Amino acid sequence: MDKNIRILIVDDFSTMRRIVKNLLNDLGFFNTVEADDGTSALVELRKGPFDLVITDWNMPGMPGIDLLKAIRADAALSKVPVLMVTAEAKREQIIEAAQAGVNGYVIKPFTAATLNDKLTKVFERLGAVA
Amino acid sequence: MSTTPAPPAATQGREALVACLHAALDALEREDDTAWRRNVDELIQWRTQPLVQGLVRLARELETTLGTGGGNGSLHEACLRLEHVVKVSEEASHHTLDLIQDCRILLGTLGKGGDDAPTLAAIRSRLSEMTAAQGYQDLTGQIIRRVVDLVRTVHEGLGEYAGDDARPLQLDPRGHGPSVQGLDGPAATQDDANQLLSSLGL
Repeated sequence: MDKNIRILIVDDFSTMRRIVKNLLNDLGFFNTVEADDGTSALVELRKGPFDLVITDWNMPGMPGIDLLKAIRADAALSKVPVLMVTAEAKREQIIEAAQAGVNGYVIKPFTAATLNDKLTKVFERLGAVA
Repeated sequence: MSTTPAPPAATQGREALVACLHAALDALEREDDTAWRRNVDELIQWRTQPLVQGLVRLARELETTLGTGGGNGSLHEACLRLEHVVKVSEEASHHTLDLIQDCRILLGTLGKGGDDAPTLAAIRSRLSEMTAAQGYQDLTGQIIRRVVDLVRTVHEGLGEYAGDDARPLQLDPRGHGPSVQGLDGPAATQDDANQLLSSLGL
C-alpha cells in the first residue's frame, strides 16, 4: 500500500479533524488535507487528485451525505472512496449512505481500533484496485 | 355540558369575523382579487394577533426571569454561553492532543542508553496535565445546565400560547447529531452498522 496517498479529512470540528489526522499518522499516512464542510471539501477535491475522503455527516453548510452524492455525481471524482465518520446512527441514514455509494461507515464515538480497521479495509480495496 | 356565554367583546369579535369571512367569499365569487386579499389578510391578522401578543409577553417574562441585574439576560446571552462551551471544549481537546503528541516524542527517546528518569518524569507530568485538562467538562457542564433551564422555560412559556394543532419546531435537517439516551430512538452500534452494510453488499 502506497503510504503517500492523498487523504481529505472533512469535519466541522477541528479537534475531530486532528484526531483522525493523528490516527492516520499512526498508520503511516501523512499526506492529508483538511476541510470544514462539504462545500470547502469540493473546492479542495477539484483543486487536485485525492485517493480517499474521510467525512463527517452533520456539518453546517453542505453536510457529508450531500458531499458524498456530489462526489458520486461528478465524473472526475466519482471513483474516490469515501469513509463516513459520524454520530448519525439511524438505520435509515446508514442505508441512505450505502445507497449513495459510501465505502465505509464509522459511528462516533469510535475507538482507534475501529477507525484503523475501517481504514485498513478501504486501503486493502484501494490496493487491490491499484 | 353547559356553555358559558361569550363576553360582549368576544361576541363582537365573532361577528366581525363572520362578516369578514362572508366578504372574502363574496369577493372570491366576484373574482375581485383585491377585496379577497384584503379580507384574507384581515383574517390572518385576527388569527395571529393573540399569538404575537403572547410571544411579546413571553419575551418580556423571559427577560425578567433571566435578567442579570442589568436586564441583559436573554436568548442571545444563552447563545454566547454555548459558543463559549464550544470554544473551551475545543481548546481543552487541543491541549490534550498536544500533550499526547509530546508523550509520543518522549517515549521515542527512552532506552537509548542515557538516563531515562527525567524523561519518565516529563511523561508523568504530562499525564497529570491531561487529567487536569478534563476539568473543562465541569465548567461546560454547568453552562449547559443553565441553558437547559432556559430552554425549558421557553418551552413551558410557548406551550401556553401554542394551540393543539401547533407543530413542533423543526431544526435544520442536515442531521440528527449524537443520539441521547432517553430522548432519541435507539442508535445503531458499530456492529449494527457493519451488519447492515454487509447485508447491502458492502
